[in-house]
Amino acid sequence: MKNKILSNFYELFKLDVKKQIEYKSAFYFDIIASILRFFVIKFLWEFIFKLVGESTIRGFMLEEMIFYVACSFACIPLLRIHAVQKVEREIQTSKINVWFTKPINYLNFIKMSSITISFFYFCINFSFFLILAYIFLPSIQISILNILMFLVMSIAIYFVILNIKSMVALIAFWTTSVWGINYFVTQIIFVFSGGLVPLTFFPDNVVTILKYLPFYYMNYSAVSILLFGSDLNFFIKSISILLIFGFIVRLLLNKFYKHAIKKLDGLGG
Amino acid sequence: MCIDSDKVIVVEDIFKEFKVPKDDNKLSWIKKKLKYFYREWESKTVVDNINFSIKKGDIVGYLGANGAGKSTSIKMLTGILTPTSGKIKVLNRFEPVKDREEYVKHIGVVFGQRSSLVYDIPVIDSYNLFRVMYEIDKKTFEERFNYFIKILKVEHLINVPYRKLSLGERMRFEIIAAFLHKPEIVFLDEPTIGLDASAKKIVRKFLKTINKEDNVTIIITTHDMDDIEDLCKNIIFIDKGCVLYDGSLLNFKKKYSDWRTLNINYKKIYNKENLDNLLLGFNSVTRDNQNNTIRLQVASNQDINLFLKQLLDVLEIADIEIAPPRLEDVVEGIYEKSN
Repeated sequence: MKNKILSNFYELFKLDVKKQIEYKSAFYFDIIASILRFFVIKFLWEFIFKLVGESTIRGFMLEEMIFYVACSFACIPLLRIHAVQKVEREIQTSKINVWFTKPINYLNFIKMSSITISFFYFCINFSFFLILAYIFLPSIQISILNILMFLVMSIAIYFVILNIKSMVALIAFWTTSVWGINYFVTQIIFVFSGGLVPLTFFPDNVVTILKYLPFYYMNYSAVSILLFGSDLNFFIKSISILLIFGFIVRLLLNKFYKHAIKKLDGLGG
Repeated sequence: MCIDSDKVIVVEDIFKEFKVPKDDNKLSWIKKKLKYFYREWESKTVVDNINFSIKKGDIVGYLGANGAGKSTSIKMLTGILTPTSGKIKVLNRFEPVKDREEYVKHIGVVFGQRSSLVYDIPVIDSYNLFRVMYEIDKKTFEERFNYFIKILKVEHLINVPYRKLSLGERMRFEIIAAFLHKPEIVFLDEPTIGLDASAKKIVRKFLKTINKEDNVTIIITTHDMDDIEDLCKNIIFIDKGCVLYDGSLLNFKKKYSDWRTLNINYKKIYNKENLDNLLLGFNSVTRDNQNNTIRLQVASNQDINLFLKQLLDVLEIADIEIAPPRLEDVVEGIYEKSN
């Protein structure tokens, strides 16, 4: 059974990578956009620091702040879960009917497709970010250990986001369109995990609440570990909280899926 | 449920209703104004207690007008939709929805208007995914795949991205995907939609061949009655969610048509006015003045000798043919009565 899932995943992975490479222009423009974004963030924060006239804002020096925000944006592919658009589109066009006649678990199938696409674009964005940070942020020194810890954290974060977003995707079985819900959830995760600005910008009581949720241990903790390093205890605590939360969402997701497939009405002839 | 080993599909009293938004005309004035914020729903019966069974190795035509409930029942038979009530037993052991993941390994499905192949990449890559999904060993896969692409004449297209193929080529690849894992039953929902005459011929020939070789049961829904006449001995006719007819195609024609088709090819018209008057007494008269042909339906109880005598007085006949009713005309008659 496990062997079959792995073979399915490997074939899907190959297929999805081929699909991405088939449209080379999207691939190249994604690289250009990630470079452009880096410089926009750099100039914006240089201007803010000049305006404030301080060497640190909320505990971050200029280059640290640029590194933090640019890295958070480079991680956006982990938030863009392909499953949501895929399920929504397939329900609207009733292409979903075709997949229900194949010997696969549709939920696993959409998750597998999402993993390839997210990591494909994450790898591109993150690699280019590291190169640009190395060239344009000389005061930032990051160790291989920090990168490894960050990547492990990213996988745990992705596990949580993938399950939350798959749940959003399944809402399409009732509502047909989930564009608005997806946008809302994406913004909530991005902002409250410190994607836009570090969580040190938030009021203390909000941060305290966020510590009881996985948000604190998502983008903010991961990028901080990459930037400043971390003691092993905090790293293990973050990973554990993310995994526990991820498993709870996964459990709910599986229950939700059983209800969702009964709602399928296979639109059209 | 009584199981007969010869029957691969047994359907008992399946009923399906959907919730649909209530018709505007049935809403009060205030509810009409509020319809963008608040919706009232009502139940609509799509499949109404249908019963039938299908024998192993048969090619069965599953017919009906648009909205008659064909596609909904096919979706229930393939495990996509859950019936509101009723029982479906397939291959003597599967309940389509309950056993879906195991059951679909034994069936193939083509939805004529939805593709199962990946749009962006060469078709061969999609088949490699299906090979893994259906756990087909490499040798069998290669043998069957090479055989199918040869019969369907698409050998030269396997490395072309799906999006670059014509409609006919796409459909042939869809059909290959449905038969590749040697299914016991294949459901074809409008498999020849939009195909040209030559592509239709190739597809029909393939279906006949594979039906004979694999003894695969094929259920075909289509609006192209030539497909049915060419492929099916038996049909199931659905009207307004109910089974109107379940039996042989020959008996269907006998039961629902009380006419014969007369095809007349003439050289010259002696008296146009008399001809017009003579044809007035017939239904469904098609005249082609350019090709000098007349096609008309003659009722079974009508005296054809008398009519031919009268016809010879007004026309110089070159050729005449009395044909059994065309399925298309029979079906059209049923649709008209039903409407």
